[in-house]
Amino acid sequence: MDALQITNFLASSVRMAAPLLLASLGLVISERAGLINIGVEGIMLMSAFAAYAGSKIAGGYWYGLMVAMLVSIVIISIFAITTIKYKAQQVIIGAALNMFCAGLSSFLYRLLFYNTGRFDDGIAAASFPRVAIPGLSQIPILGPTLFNHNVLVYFSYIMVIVLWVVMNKTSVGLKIIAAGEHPKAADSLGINVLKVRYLATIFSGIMMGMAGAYLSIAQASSFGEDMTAGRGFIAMAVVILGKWSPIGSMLGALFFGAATALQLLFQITGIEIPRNIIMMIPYIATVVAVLAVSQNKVGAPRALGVPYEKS
Amino acid sequence: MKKKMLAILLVAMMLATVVGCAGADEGAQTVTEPEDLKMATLLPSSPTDGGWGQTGANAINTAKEYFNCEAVIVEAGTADLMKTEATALAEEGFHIIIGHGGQYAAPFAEISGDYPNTYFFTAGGDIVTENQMPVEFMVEELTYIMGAMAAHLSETGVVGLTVGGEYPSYTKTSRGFELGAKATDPDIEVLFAVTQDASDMNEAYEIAMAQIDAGADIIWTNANQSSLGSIQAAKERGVKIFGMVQDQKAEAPDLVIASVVQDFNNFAIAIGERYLAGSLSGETIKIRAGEDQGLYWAWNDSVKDTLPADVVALYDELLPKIQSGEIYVPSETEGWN
Repeated sequence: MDALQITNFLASSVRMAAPLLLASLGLVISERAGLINIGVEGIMLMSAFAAYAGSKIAGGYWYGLMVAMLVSIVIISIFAITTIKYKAQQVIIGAALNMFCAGLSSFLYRLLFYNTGRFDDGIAAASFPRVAIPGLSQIPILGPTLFNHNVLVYFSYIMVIVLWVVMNKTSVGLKIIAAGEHPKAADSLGINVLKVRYLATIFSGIMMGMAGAYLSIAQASSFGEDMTAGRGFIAMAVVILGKWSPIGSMLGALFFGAATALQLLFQITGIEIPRNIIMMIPYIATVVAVLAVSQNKVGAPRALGVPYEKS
Repeated sequence: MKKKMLAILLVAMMLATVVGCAGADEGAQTVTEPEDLKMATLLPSSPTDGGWGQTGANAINTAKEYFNCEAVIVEAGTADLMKTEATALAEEGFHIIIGHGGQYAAPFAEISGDYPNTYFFTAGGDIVTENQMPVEFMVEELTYIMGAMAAHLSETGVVGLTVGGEYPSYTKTSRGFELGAKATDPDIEVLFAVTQDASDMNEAYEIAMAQIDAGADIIWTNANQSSLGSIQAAKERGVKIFGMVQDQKAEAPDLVIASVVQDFNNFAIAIGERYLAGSLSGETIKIRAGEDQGLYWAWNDSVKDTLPADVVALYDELLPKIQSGEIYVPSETEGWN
């Protein structure tokens, strides 16, 4: 591999990790607060559609992003109310959201854009352009890898730092952790556990919305039914791999992104391995990594998935 | 005692339902009037994907309008669904069932013999019976020309090719591109990749980026809706690209050279008319390149005008040779070396 191939591989890894990172950071916060949301796949898909629709109709990617975030807030609110207030089974609600969002996104896409391909200006919507950071993007290898992406990529990595600080250095983070580890103890200390869980869940929904928007208006410039292709579930694995920490999630997302980029690189370089084996690399790598991490104490919040009943 | 009686009653009702439903539909009854015709298409992907699924949906809707008949679209992307949905349609008396892809051939073959009055068509595949027929779009006739043009136009000597799945009706017809490129320039490097999921635009985007980063200055993707990801990559990097299935020049007006368009509309009407005339029989229906046939080359005039004349002339030069056999391009059903 020459320097150019290495650079391109690394840059591709960072790009492919971005939607996983955005979603997994949201999941870290909500799961640390005690809520497990397997509906991440559906929320990302619905947000991807909303972002595309917003951008296509309003004519701008920022509008698309705002619509995606609003839609994700609405959907995550359904999850929050049903699981926190009504104490419904979180896994069941998440699964229901996946099916609901898959159906709704397809339905609305066909309703609004059935003549896809017949737009005079094409299917593509306005999408986030690349923004090369002046000076930094010129650094050999590191520049193109880290400093020549769209703003959502930059945002995702900035959020790693922000959330690390929040979770480890602020009282907000302490409350979130307490709500997920010992909600009764937290309640006894005056922490409003339900409020913390609501806010953590809403935040996670916003991050999932951004992850969905990334897929449709920061890379593909289009929407396709089922375009998330399982990335929501991969994000859940990333959270476990990263042991419910922002930095761990970043490393996990990069690991999966790199494995996927490697698979693509192997394909086009014609390496003598059956293609079907090559295409398994990201998934095998993730399973192996999760198993390896699970040998030690996994670190899941003690009250994860357990509704809190305020006494 | 009451509970026992209730249980017996419920079982009896269930049995009555099963018996009542059995034999309620006895398969299709021959019709001769267009309005009585019932046609269905099974799609492996969304009818709004801007690519393969949409061509199938457009075809059945065209037939519906033309014949003023009943026509339905069913999404059935997995083998079990293909068989169960086709069985259900045949039971409901549909006269024509189209499986929009070669992957429908085997599932249809398991049931077509049970419904002799229903005609099963597959877009690809090689199973022929009295009432099951493959439709073979000789796409390789045009993808060969595409590859030859790519080899002529490439300044780096590297071109990219991506397909959305690894089965014969996909890869063989797409690798006509590779044949044409290497026949023109034996030293040309064709970077070949397969997406894991034909609906994953982001993966196709990354594959195209990797191909472009590896030096490809002409790319082509035949991967259904995920082709849009490749087009986005081409737009970002200013690389020329060919379109597939639908005319994709609107997606990148300055970069799409031409598109190979597959139009199933005429085919859907033709088989409906042949059914009504009673002239359908077991055969492979070959659709060759030619605008009236439903398989044709669509130039993007704004790019065509910038191309060297000898490249533009390749279409008229090569197509007759391919169709006459002077240039051999294996089809889906022929051997592939």
